[in-house]
Amino acid sequence: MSGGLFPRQFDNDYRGRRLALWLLAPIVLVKAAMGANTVLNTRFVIDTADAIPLADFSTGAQEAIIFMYQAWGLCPSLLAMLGLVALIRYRSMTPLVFLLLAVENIARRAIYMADPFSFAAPPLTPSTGALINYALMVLLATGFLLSLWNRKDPRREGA
Amino acid sequence: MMDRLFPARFDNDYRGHPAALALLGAFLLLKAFASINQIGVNPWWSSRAVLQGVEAVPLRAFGSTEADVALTLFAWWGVEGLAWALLGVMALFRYRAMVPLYFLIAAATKIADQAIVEASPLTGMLGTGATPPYAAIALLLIGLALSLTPARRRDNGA
Repeated sequence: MSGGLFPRQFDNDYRGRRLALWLLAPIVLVKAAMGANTVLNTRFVIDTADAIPLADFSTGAQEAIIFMYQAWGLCPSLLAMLGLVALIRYRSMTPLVFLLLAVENIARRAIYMADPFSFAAPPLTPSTGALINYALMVLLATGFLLSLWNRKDPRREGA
Repeated sequence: MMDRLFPARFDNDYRGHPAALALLGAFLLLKAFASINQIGVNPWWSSRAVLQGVEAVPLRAFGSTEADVALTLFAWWGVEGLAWALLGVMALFRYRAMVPLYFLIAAATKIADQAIVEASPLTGMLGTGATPPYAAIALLLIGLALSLTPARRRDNGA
């Protein structure tokens, strides 16, 4: 597996299933959109996607939380850019990009689950953001496995 | 220059100045340490203490819900930082041809971070009003320049 995940070099010689590339493209788009939205429409994302009652917070807390959201929102955009670079020029990096995106998503969710916000006390209704992230997790795990699954190449077999 | 940033393949054939690798190593150590503290997995330094002490966020003045949200966001921010640090470690040890691109991305991130700081109404917390980010941006740009500077080959004239 390490040959597929960490090959000797990253180039455009991709050996996984083509479907993984088709999955990665929309994921990269969604991640880029989520990142840009978080930076540019921060208050809207906090209120609606993540269902945090920002209006009830003190001014100081609101400012600090908005700032941290924006700083954090830059990173999904950058990960999306890495995915774009992989899709265009270094397709053998595809499994690693899937793994990075999946680990990032799962770790974030795990942090939240370890100490959920008190205002989200049961009955827990997942926010829109959480639902999008659950769907992303499934797609990322599927894409990761597909990208490591070598497709049959008649040229290599005949060689 | 585009060929150095986006070569045909990312392998371990690094052609830049060795000082850039040392600079990247130091940057990654700091980044990983900061991210681990943000996530709250450092048993000797809680993320609450870091957010209050280092970032000067007055958590005591926040309500418990506000503090919860701030700490969770701080940890999420740390996860992203750690993911990037891990990618940097891979570049440093296995794919050194990726080092110039890594410096470019790291510098661009710091510059964007600083733009958010400048636009924020915050004062005196989370890096607002501090000079270290500018020093970090300068160091990353120096690293980028060094990684793009061809190193003298030792086997010249051999």
